[in-house]
Amino acid sequence: MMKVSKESKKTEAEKKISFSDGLKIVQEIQKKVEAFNKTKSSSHSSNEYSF
Amino acid sequence: MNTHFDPTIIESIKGKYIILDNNVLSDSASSPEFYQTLYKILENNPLFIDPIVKLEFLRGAYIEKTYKEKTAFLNIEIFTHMVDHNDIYKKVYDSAFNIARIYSHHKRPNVPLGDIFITARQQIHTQQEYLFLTEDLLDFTTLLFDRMLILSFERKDKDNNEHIQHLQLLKFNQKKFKDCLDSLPQ
Repeated sequence: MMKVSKESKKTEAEKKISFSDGLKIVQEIQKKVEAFNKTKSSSHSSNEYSF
Repeated sequence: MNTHFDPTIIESIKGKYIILDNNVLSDSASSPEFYQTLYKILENNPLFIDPIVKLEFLRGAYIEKTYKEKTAFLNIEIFTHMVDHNDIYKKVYDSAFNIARIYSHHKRPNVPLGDIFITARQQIHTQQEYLFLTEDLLDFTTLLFDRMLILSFERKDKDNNEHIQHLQLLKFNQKKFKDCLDSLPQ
């Protein structure tokens, strides 16, 4: 019970994510970067975007 | 994704700690292919995130949902966040002054502050050896580092144009740092 209680107190920022779930996050970010790049005329590397 | 690198060096650095620069994190956070390829190559290395790199990575995400996604990315199990506390701040800060002076003396007064702090954190870790993986060839040079490896990736941009992306794996050289510090004009 104690462990469950501690787990429930963890914030979203503290949760460890598996490599395969990480891939899903990357796919979501990729969609945003591509959408962002379409609005720009010049070429942007992925570390230049902000939204 | 086609890659070009010396596999014997990857074998020789097995188990060594590697700090990832923001450009590496950003590119791997936005390309599934790059994410899978790069971290497969480095699967035998603990990967570390410097607090300054974390700030650089997250600062562009002003929309809450994006911020949460990028924060979640940093919490992928392959990444370890470097320990940070008051004693470390002071050491990093003190070292940053020396590194900034060295760069200025070598006609590089405009190295970004973030890069100076990232370099300083590696300088203070004299007991634990860290390697540093970056795409930045201008602000992290062989003035203070040794270049261990170049990793090259065949990539395509949004217009489907091919280009080669190079990452360099560096090791901070304490002797170079000391020699540079000792040779500053009085």
